[in-house]
Amino acid sequence: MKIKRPFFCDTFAPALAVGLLVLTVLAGPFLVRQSPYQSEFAHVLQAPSLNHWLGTDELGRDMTSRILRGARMSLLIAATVQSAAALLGILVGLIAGYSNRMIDGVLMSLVDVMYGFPALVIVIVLVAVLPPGVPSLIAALTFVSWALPASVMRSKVMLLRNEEYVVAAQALGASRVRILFRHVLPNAIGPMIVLFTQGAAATIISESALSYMGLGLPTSYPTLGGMIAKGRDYLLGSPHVALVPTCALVLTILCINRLGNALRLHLDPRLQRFQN
Amino acid sequence: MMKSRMFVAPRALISRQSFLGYCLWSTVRAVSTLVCATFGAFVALRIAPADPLTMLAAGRQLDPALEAAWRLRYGFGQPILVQYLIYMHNLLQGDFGLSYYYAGKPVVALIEPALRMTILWQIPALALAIAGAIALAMTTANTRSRWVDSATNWLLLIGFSTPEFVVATVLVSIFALQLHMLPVAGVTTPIHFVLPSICMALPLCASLSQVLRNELTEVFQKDYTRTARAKGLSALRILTAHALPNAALPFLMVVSYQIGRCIGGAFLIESIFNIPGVGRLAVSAVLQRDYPVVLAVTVVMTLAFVASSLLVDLLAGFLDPRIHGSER
Repeated sequence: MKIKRPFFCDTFAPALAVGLLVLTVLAGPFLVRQSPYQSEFAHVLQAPSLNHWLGTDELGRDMTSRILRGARMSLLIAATVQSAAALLGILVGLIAGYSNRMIDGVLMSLVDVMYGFPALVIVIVLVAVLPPGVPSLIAALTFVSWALPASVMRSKVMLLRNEEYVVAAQALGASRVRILFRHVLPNAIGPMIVLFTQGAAATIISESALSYMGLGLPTSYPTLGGMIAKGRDYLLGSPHVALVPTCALVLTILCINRLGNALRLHLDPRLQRFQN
Repeated sequence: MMKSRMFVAPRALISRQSFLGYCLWSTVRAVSTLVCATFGAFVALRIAPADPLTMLAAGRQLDPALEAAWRLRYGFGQPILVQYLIYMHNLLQGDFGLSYYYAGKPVVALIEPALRMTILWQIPALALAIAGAIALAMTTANTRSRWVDSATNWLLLIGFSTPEFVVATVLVSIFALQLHMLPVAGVTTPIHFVLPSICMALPLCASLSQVLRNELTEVFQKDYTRTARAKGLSALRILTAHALPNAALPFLMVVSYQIGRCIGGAFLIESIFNIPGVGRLAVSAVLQRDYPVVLAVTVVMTLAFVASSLLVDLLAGFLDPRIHGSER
């Protein structure tokens, strides 16, 4: 029994929290009647009440539905960006880890440059050039996210390529593609899940930062970053306009980061021993 | 074996196992990073969006003499590689091109005061973050209390999960608007830099102290620490003479990676606190589609990032010969 408790507390609880979060955000339109776009100029900047659970913003729009809509977009962007980055990273990592030294060298110096480089600078350049909108934002954020999965995947492949079952598959005459996808990839996927989770939190931070500066999605769309930026003008009289989306954003990132840490501990026995 | 004879340079220079060779390779890597990144940004920002001369004219009829002079100086209409080389050549002489939005005003006149301002407030922020990280890690690394440990873990997780602009919103609402202790925004007095520096330093401090804390915890479990303790050395002496020097190197590496984050943070903090630095310049330039200014800021930030990473790489190689001396 004593062995199971840490798993429940450390992994299951954060997973449950993230699950609930996703469920709430998906069920948003059914939970809240009000539209996120409907302005009621008679009820501007209202404090939380029974009618508007989290109050209204400077145009009298319902904060609850706006936050749910914004969080849904954030999570959607994070999931898409991290899936694309993971696919790209896995592909580059597999190729680099399993091919000759020259290809490996070229790919890895590319990864080194991408990994160290300040991501926000690249994103801002891309946002400046690409037409505004969700696809451009996803493309820009994916462009800065694939390097870490690629380098982790590569080192994992380097370790696995000398394993007995891989050598056995080679001896049996299996093709490279078959070895990579049937034998190497399934055994290297664990760290990818951790990176996916931690990367999702980082993507949400970047996306909300961009929206905050007005460089993300168009300002008409409800985003957590955009709502915090707008709410700054009303901090004195009605602080809830900025503080409620702030809490929503921090809680979202916190839950995901906590899950990422827990998964890392769970999947890496070396770290587990170190912690205990 | 024969292949290495092809190089004319002395062995020590090309061997990655000597310090000299390590320096050389690090520099080559830094310079190639710089060239790749600036070329990428140049292609994206000069060629892709619009014709520079049309943008510079901004709807007016350009003076033909002026247009010819600009063509000659900046190589508009030449092949892209030539344009890049001309751009770099001008850059080395302190000419960053012409702003579209300000109709041909030299970019250097915009970026120079901005850069000065950014450096002015980033250095105290970085120093604050490093000092805070060292203090936090030293006080919590060696603790036997599970409560302190758990509390620190949560504190670091929260610090890690809180973007700079959220810290800024909360701190401004408490210290500037409620308590009236500090100004909301602006740069007129040194007091104005307190809030931006803290907002910059807090998230940075969280990630730095996490690394340093892990390193210190590991060092405290080593045999030489136990020996030092058995000899009867004081806790302070163990920390300063044994633990910190051994934990310093990984810490230094992380600091160099975090400088990238600092550069990104400048965009946010400067927009929030209305500091006329390079970050705010870049954000307004993006919104105004002023590509030469965006390009100039990108180049300056790339240069700062590459230079600081190179410095840390060289310092690390100098402090720990294992980095380049090991056979691999």
